[in-house]
Amino acid sequence: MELFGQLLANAIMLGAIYALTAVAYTLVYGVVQLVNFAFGELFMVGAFICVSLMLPSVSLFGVSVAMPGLPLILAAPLAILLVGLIGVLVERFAYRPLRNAPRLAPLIVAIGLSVLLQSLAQSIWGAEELSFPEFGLSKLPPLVLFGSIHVNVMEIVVLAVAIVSMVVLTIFVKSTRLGRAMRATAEDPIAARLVGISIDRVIAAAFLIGSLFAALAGLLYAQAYGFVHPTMGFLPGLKALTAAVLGGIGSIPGAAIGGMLLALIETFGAGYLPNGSAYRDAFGFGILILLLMFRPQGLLGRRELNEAPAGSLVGTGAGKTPPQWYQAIVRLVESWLLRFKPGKTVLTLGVLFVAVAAAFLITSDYWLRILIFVLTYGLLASGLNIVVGFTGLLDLGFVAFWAVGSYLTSILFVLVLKQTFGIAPADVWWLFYVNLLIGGFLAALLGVALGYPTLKLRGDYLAIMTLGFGEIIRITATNWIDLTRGPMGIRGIPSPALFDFPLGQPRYLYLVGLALAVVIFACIGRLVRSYVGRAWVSIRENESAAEAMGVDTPRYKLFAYASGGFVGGVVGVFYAHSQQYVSPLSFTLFENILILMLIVMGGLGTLIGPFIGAAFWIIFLQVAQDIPFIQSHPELRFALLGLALVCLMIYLPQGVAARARVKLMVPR
Amino acid sequence: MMELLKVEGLTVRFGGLVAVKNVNLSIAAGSIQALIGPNGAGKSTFVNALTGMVRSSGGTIVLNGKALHDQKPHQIVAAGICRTFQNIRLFGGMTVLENALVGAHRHFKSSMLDLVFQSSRMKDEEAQWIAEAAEELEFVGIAKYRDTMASTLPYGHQRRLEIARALLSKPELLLLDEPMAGMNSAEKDQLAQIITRVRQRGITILLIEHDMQIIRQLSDRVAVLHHGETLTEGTVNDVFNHIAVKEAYLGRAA
Amino acid sequence: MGVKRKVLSLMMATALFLPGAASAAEKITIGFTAALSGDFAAFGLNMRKGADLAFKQINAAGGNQFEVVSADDRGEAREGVLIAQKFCSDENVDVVMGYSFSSIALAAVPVYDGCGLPVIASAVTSPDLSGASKFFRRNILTDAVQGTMMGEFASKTLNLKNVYLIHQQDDYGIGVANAFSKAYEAAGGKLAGTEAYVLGTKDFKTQLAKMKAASPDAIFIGGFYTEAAKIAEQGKALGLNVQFLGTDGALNPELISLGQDAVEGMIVYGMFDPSLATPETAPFINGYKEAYGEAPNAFAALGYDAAMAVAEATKIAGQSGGVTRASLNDAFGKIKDMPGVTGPTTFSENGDRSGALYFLKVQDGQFTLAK
Repeated sequence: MELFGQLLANAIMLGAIYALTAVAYTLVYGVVQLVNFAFGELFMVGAFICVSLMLPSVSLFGVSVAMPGLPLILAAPLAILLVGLIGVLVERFAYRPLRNAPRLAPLIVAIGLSVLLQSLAQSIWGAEELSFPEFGLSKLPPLVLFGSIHVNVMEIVVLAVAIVSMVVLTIFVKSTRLGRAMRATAEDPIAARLVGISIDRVIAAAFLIGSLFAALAGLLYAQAYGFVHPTMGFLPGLKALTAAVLGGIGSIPGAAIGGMLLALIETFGAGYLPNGSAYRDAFGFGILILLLMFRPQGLLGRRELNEAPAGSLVGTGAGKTPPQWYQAIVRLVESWLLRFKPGKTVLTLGVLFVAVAAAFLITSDYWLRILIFVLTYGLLASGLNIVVGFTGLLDLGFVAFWAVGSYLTSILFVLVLKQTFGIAPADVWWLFYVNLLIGGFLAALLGVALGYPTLKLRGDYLAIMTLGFGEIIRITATNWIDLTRGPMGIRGIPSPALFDFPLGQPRYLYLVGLALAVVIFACIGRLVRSYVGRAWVSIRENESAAEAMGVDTPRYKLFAYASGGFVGGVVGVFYAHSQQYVSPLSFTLFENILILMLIVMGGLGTLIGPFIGAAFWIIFLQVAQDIPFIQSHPELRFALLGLALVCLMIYLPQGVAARARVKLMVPR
Repeated sequence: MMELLKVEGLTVRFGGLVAVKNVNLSIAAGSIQALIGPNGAGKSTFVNALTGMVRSSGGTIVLNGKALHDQKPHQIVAAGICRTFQNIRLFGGMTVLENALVGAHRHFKSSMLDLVFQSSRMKDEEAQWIAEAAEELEFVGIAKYRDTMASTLPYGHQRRLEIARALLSKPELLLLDEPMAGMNSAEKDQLAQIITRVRQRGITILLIEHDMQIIRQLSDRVAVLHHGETLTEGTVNDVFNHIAVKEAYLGRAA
Repeated sequence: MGVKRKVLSLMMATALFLPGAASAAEKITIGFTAALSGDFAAFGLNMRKGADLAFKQINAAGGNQFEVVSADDRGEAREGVLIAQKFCSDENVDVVMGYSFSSIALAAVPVYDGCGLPVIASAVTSPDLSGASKFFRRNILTDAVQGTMMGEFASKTLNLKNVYLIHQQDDYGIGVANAFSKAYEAAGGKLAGTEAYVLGTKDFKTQLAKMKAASPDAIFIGGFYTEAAKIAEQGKALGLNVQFLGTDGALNPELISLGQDAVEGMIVYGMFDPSLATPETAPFINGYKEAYGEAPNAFAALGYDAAMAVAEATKIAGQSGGVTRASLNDAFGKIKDMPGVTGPTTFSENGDRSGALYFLKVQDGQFTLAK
């Protein structure tokens, strides 16, 4: 009873913070159908500004700066307003140019902004945590309820603030002109425009209010847990998003209920289930998946919101006109390529020749390794591209397939054969090639199993559900130590070999990877240039029309998951053997988002796009290591990357290789 | 005349709302059957139920003696019913020819291995249907746009592409859901000609349309839906003289 | 870089012609890698500060000159492998330092094996790294040694009968926790229960509520200072007034500035004592405060000592011929009881280090010797 009471008290406090952040997501999503991942970072910025204002002095950029040392009651509103301003500016300059772009472009901008803000925060405030200053209320001794349940005075304040602000927001949306305009826009943006509502103003208002709520939640969170840190916003942001979906995205009471529910599930799951704390993050996702299976619109969501607009991912709308130099390059490359058009095979063979020659011309093992990673990530992205780019299903759980392939071969080679049966890996070198197939098929099977419950979902709900699957698999890999050795990882995986000839050197690994890439690239290309590819793309472009034209949409969706999974599994096996070590560290949510970004940067639904995206990303990060100011400020490398992502998306929302659209027929 | 489609007691409920109530309809093979009724009468829901896109709550749909009422959309297409949409639903990011080829989806029999190894079976199949698709594009008069993106096609041509796409499934019954909406009279005339030629190929048509002129011109029989129920059904002249139809359309004053 | 190589070979050439050239100054390039941005950047940055300070002092003293090129792995295995290869392929790099995550070091080891580049890591404790490569060494004690010593200390010296164990769910936390519980139970103690958390967790209230229900007389935290401070703070708020025990991961001035009153009385262990400047540690502790305006922590101390070991190995390698990757690697094996701020350094055959631990207690906002 004592435990129960204390857990309940903890859960309510946590739930209040989740709910506040969930409001931010839900509000903006309701108006522009955008999951603004950057709210997690605005949450963090709010906390940092508030703490800075409260301290007598703060070290900014490593220099001690005098601060006003305001009391919380003054610092908090100031911090919240500043963050609101940042939110509005972000909307104006980063999102507004993308109003008519494909829906994934603003999502990638949101991720880019997250990375940028996080890195800048580390530059400004440093990498160490700052503790939240004490003040009058926080120093009061905790109240003891029923003899044993400890509740801080501030926790009650947090709850009260949460309730009051939610009520105020609800009244605002229900009874002010702007609030009603927001609701109208959420229900039917076109009709809202027709009756004279300024969409720009409504969207700016949604971002403003969302940012205010994120900042409020952030500083309450910082106060409750006593610290601020540049990466503090990521997990609460993700949880809040989950809460918003749980409650039904677009619904304010839904966000409140979702936040509370999520906190209760997590807290009680962790408190009462055996080894519950380790699996804590998995419970929320588990419940979310179950709920979405039976009630795809969330608890209080309305069904209509669950309809993704047709052609949601890869629209034909464009952002700003690309800069002159880019257009010039594209024209040059195209005119050059056009010369080869009569014999397209010549072009393919030429590229292949160059790729093979690279293995022998590049003498630096470092650059060969970079190319191996470009191939690996290009292939992973190609696999995901089947699901996202061609079929239009936003999948954020793709790393699970990669992990399955990697762990399959690692467990088999090291834990089973070597450690249990004493079989030397060199004696079973051929098993690597067999595993490529087994890993592929196992991952494909998993793809079907994970894909099946998502068949009814569309758009962003699908993304959240797949994200949940991916995280559950990663959390399991981390905690099921008997199977995977958990965070210790599995080492000693043999390099690939051909008979007695070891292929462990970067040069040979690159060639093995290249061979794999050629085969997979060709297979994907041939599937796409057929009735299968047309069925996939038709689902992406308009699912109900595809259905009406006789495409068995569930079957082709599952087939897309299976094909994508297959590629992920195969690459996983190769990855494990080329790294000779696997650990859950390689299969994080960020890796997942990264793979998605590679496709969007390169060009969704193109064959070459994933490789272009991978080359850009991996080479950029490596080259940036050598820039002198990165040497002294390592975190700015990712700030640069975030900035590059945002600019790229604003100017080229269709991706770099947008013109390399695949013909969905056999080339003649 | 032989009966192609027989609908009996078809009912569709959305929660408490009954959108289609106990509708009976039978369509003779080779005929053009019109379906009219004011907005919100349940015409589109009726078409959606026929094509399996909404689940019917009761009644039977029989095509050529085959029961279809619990079939999935792709099974219904395979049975020989295909449709166009009132609000155009093309695959915007695909070319005109590719759009048409999606219509032919059900005819492709190549296996995955055929595709991956580019077998001659696969190549033959692909070539055959590209040729047929080109013919249908020619038939509706948009052949020269075959490599244009569907989203950039002029409005009237988009309607034609929808018809060509549906024709490629080789349907026995073609459902045209307000194919002339938003067209001027010249475009309507051209489309009417196309519809007549489709009929001449022996394809039965269920035509939903508001333009009474066109209905008179094209159809053999007319059914009137009102508040989800069949108000009347009969030959064009019979129906147009029916007093209840005038009331439904023009209000009691007429 | 080409110029630098020329200078280097010029120096080598002169060394051949000059008598007594074995003591000629060498230019040594150190590749430093760790997570320097992202979630866990603080550990790596501290290590680098320690190393930078050491090289500044060594370079100022004349003789061999050391230059550091650093690369941020951001805690990502992919970057870890590429950085390892980058250092391997860069012929100027003679030795590698750093590493904040065992997983990344484990992913990088096969690459170093391929090019024979010696590594001296500072903050990775996984038992899997013992003997993983003949080029890999570390100057931190393994989890097993640490946990065992703490387990015995808790039972025998502190006389704690009922300890609740909470550890970080990774190689470090699991290693320490396993060793601790084994030693503690062998010494007659009884574990009240075990909990695990992921590095970076902020909310421990649920786990603390669970622990409180088991009424232990102490809680052993197998993890780093950021989490240890939160556990203590949130525990106190829940009315959990017990003895807190920590590891070397918590031996950090930040523990006190984050945890404030709540960590008062916590006992941790470590290889160096940040509060007490002995003759060995004075240049480090005072130099660090002067350079960075803050007190050093265990990560900085390990980085400093690793740099000292590199300097020592360079000296040894220089005495027996030219300084190459191979000769440096051999030289590391020859280092014997080199004094340092974390005690004497000797590397065993499998690359591990043995050493003594101090037990320190937080008293009046200061670490003080516990025994």
